[in-house]
Amino acid sequence: MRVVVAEDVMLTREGIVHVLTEAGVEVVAEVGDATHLLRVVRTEQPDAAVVDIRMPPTHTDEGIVAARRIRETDPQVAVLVLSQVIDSGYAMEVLQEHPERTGYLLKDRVFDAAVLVDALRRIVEGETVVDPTIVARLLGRRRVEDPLGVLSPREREVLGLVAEGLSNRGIADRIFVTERTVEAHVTQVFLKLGLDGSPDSHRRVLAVLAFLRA
Amino acid sequence: MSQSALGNRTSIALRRLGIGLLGITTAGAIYVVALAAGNSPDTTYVARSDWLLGVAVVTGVTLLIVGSIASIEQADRVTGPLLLGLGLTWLAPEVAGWAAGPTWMHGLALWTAVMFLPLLIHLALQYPQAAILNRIDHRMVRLSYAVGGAVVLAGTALYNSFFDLYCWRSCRPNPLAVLATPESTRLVANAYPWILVAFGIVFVIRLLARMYRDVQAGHDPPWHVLGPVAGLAIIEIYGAVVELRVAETAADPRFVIIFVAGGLLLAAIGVGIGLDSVRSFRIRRSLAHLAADLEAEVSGPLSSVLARSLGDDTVEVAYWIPHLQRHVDHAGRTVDPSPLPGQAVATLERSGEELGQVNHSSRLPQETLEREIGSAAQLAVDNERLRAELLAQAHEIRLSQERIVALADSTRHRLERNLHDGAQQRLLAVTYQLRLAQAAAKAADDQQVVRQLTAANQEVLSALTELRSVAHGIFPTILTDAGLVRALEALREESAVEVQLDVADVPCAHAADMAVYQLVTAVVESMPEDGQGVTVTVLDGNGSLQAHVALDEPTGERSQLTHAVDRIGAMGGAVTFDDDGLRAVVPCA
Repeated sequence: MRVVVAEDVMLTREGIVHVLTEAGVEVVAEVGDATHLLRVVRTEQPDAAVVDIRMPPTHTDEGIVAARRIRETDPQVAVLVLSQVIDSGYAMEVLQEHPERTGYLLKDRVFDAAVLVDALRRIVEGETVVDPTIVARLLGRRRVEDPLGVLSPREREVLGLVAEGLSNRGIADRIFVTERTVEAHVTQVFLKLGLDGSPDSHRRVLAVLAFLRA
Repeated sequence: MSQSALGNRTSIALRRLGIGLLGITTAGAIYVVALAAGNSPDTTYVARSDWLLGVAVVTGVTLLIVGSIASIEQADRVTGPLLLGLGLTWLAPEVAGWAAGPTWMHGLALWTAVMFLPLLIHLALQYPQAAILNRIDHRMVRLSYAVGGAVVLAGTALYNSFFDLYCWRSCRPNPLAVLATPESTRLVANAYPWILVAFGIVFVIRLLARMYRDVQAGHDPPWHVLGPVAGLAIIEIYGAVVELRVAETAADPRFVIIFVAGGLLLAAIGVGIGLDSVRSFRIRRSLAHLAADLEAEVSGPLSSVLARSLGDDTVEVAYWIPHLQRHVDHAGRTVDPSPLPGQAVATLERSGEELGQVNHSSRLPQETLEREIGSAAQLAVDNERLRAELLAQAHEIRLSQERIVALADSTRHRLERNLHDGAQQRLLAVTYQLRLAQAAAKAADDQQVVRQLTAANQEVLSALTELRSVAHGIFPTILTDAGLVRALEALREESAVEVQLDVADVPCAHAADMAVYQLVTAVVESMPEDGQGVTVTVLDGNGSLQAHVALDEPTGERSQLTHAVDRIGAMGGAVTFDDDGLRAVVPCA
């Protein structure tokens, strides 16, 4: 896998590069801001880009803007956005146009090779990645009348994993059931919650997140 | 009755007597001139043609009327008496030419005529201000009177028209000319025009300088009066110059033209001053209602009452607040006191201290306004000024509160950034080091170390999570980065009670967003966990943010909201509590 890394804090950037390299991932370029990122993506055409949300000059959301641009102009390049902030809104923004091949991960575990490489692998294969911490917080929202109350515990678990962007296959592996079973669960969840769209499409992540955020 | 009051009444009475005599004398002069028209064809202009008589009478009557009215109406000014004097001294040569008149009248008239130029100079330099402002002008007036007086004295003693070969008006012998000889007579007769020319030229220069000064200071000089004055002065100079070469006589068309032009210009001066008097009178009459208007006026500032009374909608009133060292309007807002082009400034004073000023159209007489407004509106001015001062102070306080809040916010924002960029990144780096160590320990198959390092990593991750929430508590960057809507959505995700949102995306200053956000946060945090929820509605109030926080179970617990409510007050907004929660309005800008 060929990857570019965009992160303005040198220490963190070098750490990420090292972790990836140790894990056998080829880092073809490392840059410190969005402009350079777009340029190397153009020239190097990597499989994926690891992008920090906050970069120069304003240090607000340069990463998101760049991620969306890459997904538009070079759609075959997967993008993993890193953030220090648990904000489901930012995640929605990143995934909005093209949820497939896109991921939103908290920096907390960026140095965990297993987590990072797994996330990269998933998005390169065309899936979506949403940091579990964000999903957990959404699921844990206080509501007097819990709309998730109609779901069984298993269905709730499946819902959470769908929100994390896992494919049916991925979910099946995670909870040790067959893919068939997972499909059935997901269909049920969509039915019970009245979610828009098909339970099989790539956009199901967006549907679930939107429901959880409402 | 006090001594000074007695003295005052005496001087008023004397002044009235003097003006009365002056008026009567002038009227008498007109009468004499009319008589002279009938029987003095060789020594007067008026006898030569009815037109010339007409000019003389019109001029004389105009000056008599305007001068009399001005003297009566403005009891403390000299303009009235000066006009009467000008009429008298201009007609005096014609009186001297009255063939049927007694000798003493001829002598008196001739010398009276000398005072024409000094009177003109005095009138022009002091109009329309009562006092001559410029020291040089003041000296010039005194000097011209002095020289005029000296000429009269010298002439009385040294000039005998009997000896004057070129005498025209009156060639009668002068019994008072005890020292007169043909030589002294000729000396006086030749010197006089030179004196006229000299004073005339200096006067015109001073006049132009004065008009220039007025224009520079931004207010219009009275063109309609000073223009004819300048013309008249030039005519007089011209006449004196001609007289240097040729003796004056009515047969010479040049002198006739000078006579006519002089008369008409003098009449124009009278008309101009007359019009000013009428205007002043009208202003005073409308201002007479001012006191009553102010009492009747329930709402509305002084400036609008004045605008109506004066018929001038450019009127502005500014009050001077000494301890703030600036001018404010009736609402306490800071204003620039400089007048707009075309405006003059009437100062409101008491005991030498400036209370404020009234900027008004310059076509209104500034002095009259100062006097009248000062007396009629005294109470209103005091009240409004006091109120303005209080409002200005309250405004200052609020601004300082706003500054304090802004400083606190920016400090905390910086703190948060430092935490986020500094400490959090370092902790992240620690996790990295730990993982490296973990990998090495695994390779060395040291299970215990691996376990310890895993535990250490967990601790660091917990620390990171805690640090994140601390940083957010110090300052919610999501508010500045992503706006109020997203910040409230994030609040909803973390809060211990259910939050329902209906938030419009209103473009507002960051400080306003912050105030609303802090208020909502304070309410949410003050509620017991797992209790009933809140509903937050934020609407666009056309220049303000309108927030309504409805509590399912209103607790009445408000002490925790003090700081947030204070913050909204500091922004110029307000919070009201009602049955189902609270409402806040915050100005956007």
